Amino acid sequence: MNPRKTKALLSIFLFLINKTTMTKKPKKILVVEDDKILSKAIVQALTDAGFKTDMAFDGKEGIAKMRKSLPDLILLDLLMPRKRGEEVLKAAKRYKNTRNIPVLVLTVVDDMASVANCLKIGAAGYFIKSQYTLGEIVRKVKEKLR
Amino acid sequence: MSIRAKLILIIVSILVVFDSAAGLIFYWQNNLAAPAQTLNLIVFWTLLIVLIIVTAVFYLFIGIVTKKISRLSVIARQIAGGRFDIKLEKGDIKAKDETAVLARTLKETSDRLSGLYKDMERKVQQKTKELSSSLKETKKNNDLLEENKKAMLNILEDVEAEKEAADKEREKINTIIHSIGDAVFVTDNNYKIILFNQVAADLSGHGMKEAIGKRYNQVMNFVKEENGNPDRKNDEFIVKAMKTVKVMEMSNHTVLISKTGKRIPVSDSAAPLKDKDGKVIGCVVVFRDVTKERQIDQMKSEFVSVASHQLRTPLTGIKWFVELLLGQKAGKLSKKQKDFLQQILISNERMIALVSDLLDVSHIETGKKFNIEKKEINPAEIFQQILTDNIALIQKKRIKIIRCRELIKGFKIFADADKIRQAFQNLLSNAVKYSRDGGRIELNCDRSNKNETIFSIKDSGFGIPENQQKRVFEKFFRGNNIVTKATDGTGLGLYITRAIVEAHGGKIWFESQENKGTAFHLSIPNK
Repeated sequence: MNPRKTKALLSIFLFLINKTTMTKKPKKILVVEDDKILSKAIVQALTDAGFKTDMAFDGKEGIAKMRKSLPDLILLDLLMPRKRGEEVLKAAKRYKNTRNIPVLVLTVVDDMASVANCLKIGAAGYFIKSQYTLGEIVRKVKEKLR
Repeated sequence: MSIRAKLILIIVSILVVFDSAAGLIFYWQNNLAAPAQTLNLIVFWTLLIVLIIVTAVFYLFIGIVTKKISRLSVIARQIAGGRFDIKLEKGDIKAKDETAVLARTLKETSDRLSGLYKDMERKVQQKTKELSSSLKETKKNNDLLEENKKAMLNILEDVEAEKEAADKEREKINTIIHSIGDAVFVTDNNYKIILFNQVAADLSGHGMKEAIGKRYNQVMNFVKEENGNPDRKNDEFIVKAMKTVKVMEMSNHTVLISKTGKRIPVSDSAAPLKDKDGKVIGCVVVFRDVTKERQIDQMKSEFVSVASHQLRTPLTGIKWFVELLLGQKAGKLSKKQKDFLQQILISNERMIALVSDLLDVSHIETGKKFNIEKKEINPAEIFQQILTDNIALIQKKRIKIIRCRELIKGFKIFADADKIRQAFQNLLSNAVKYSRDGGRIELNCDRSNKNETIFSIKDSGFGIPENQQKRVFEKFFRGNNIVTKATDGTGLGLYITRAIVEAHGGKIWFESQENKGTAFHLSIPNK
């Protein structure tokens, strides 16, 4: 067989394998949110959009789950018991294997200082919950994972 | 006959008498007993007769002379007595002897004296006359002086009365000023303190006596609250009040650092003092300790902030679950169900907007203001997006929107995109809300000034009643005429819009006529 042809076939084969594995393996999103109602709504929307989700209901749990399951993206609330969102964000940036996970802050705090602080620590985005529909949030998540 | 001749005659007469007498005596002694007694007797008698005659003549003559002299002496006495109208007999003058000379001299003397006297009298009279007229003048002057004196006394009395009244008035004012619960001090036009009340003394820690006469900024140390740098004074409002002749308010968040270093938040104003010609002669500064108000404000704002955050979470829950329902993930919906859910969503959005506004207000009030992050933005794009967001209502009310060419073509300004969008959104949604169906809204911009861009949003709507125009930028203000027409609206939009514009260093103003429409203008600095 022509080595060039073999090479081409191999690449097509690899591409197909890659494609199937991708569709089969949905991206995992960790939702760190203390309000269970909101958490439920977000998880529902993300699941509907084809994402795999995990939930944490306070900062400490968030850090633990993040380190254990290494999600593809984290949606992070700020005002939470047992460690605020900023602490989780700092922890994510501290560890080598979590450093590159994009973190989108999703909060009710619309203080510019808070926005600036989170972006400085390394948040990939900052959104005020009440100003966004679930559809818009899912779109932002997809944008970040593209 | 001259006196000398007369004397000679007298002497001769005396000699003759003595001779005759001697002859007689001789003859008496020698010839008395002589024969020729008869002749001797004749000689004797002759001599005797001669002696008698001469003696008689002598007496007579002496008598005449004596008489003349005594008359003259009487006259002389008269002259001496001041009577000059003497009358001399013709004989006295015409005679050729010394008495006549004497008489003439007397006469001349008396005449001259009389002349002199008359002259003197005339002069005296004249002098008297002059004196009397000068006396009159003097009297007149005296009268005038007297009158003036009286007037002066009256004035003095008046002055005294006025002084007393002024003293009383001053005392009254002093009492009032010292009883005022706010700190008050007054400066002259050289910024020197001329009045300083007790509260000012208590707050500043400087005694009244210590403060008076000093430049105000040596005593009152007003600084900005945020940086607290005591070198950065925050008292230009006093100078401004004097320069602009307008009442100036202390800028927000002014702190007075007392003598002991205590920091007291203060608030209030400076008003120029004018004399009756409108010239500035000083400045009245009134301020008060706002520590308690500040604490209450702080608590209020914190409450609003916490409440707002706490409200946002459930509101978001409603929003998202309604969205999920509308997405029909929980089952198919009827048209009516969809419509009802839509209504919930709209109401919920209004609530979210209100909470956002309240949060903005609490930020403005706590002095956090807006953190403005300026970057290059295109106002045309922002307007386009706002129009898209509001298209439903615009179409429903059949409102015609007219944009100037630059707001279609686009250009760049340097501003905070989100905040500017919020400001434009507030103004445009007001214009739509308060327009009649079929109305028209004009969006314009003026870029003729290099330093700023002026945006104008003009509607043909209900307008703002004139008596309420002053309150337009107040918190929670809504015009009387629109409260009944549009139910939604919090009365916070313009308050926030103004804060946004001011945070950019710009200005906002408007003109409005009831039932004709309103035009809002806002200037945004280009840098």
